Amino acid sequence: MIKKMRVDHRLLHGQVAFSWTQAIGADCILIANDGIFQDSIKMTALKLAKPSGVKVVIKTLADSITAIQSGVTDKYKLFIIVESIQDAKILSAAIGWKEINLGGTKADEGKRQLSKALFITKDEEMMIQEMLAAGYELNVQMIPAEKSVDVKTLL
Amino acid sequence: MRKIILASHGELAKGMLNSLTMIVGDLVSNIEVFCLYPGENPMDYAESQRPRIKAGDDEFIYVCDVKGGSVHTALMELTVYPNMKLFCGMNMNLLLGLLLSCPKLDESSAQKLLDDARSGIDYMSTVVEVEDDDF
Repeated sequence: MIKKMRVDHRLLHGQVAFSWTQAIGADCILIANDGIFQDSIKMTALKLAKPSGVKVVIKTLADSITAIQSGVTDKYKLFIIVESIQDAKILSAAIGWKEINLGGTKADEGKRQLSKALFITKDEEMMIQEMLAAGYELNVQMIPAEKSVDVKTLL
Repeated sequence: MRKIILASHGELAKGMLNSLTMIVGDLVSNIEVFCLYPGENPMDYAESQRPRIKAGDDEFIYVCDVKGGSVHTALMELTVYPNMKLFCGMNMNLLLGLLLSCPKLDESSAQKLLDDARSGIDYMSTVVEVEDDDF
């Protein structure tokens, strides 16, 4: 059962590992990311961020989709983390999930700032519009203690 | 109600609260800090705490910096009250566990908090291999 899907360019870090996992009662974190497989130190760092009593599974986007579709994740209270809005769009479309927590994306030149931690390109803005048009719920929230804000109000 | 008090030599407690806020936000709203400054006597602080602990209405959890330090030993005397609990060796893992996954503090949940906090202390001098999890 999927508990939450989150976009966070830092993937698994303190706020996510501790606050979110507890708040949503997840027992398994799936990090769906392709780039991480090219970076073994970053991969190790992610595994070290694992909160006690929680499984952390790292898979490519394609393998994540296969795993979720196969039903092998059904028994878990699954917390899915992806790096980008694009990855979220691909993954959610493939598994038919329409609720995404926008946690944080990297600040960069030419990006538009939507909240303290969320910066989007023109392309990403388009993707967000497309998802909204398709009935997605997209909420901006960094940590559970913070208020969740509908992305619509920030565009 | 539960009250958590971070107590340290100097401003570790204050800094710890600042770091916790970054991770858990408002959950820290009822955490208090006590920083011992040079020339102050921790026994005075401990005595100042006694009346509210003795009143018995709330659960008081003190988290000190160093085991056997003067702040810790001064507060130790107050553990005669059943609603007063005392940790030492404060670190982020311990406090995050206390805040996020310990609705009821008893001997067994305290032990689990300590185990988790200890496992968060590590040493690396080379790139380590960490086992893979799978579904």
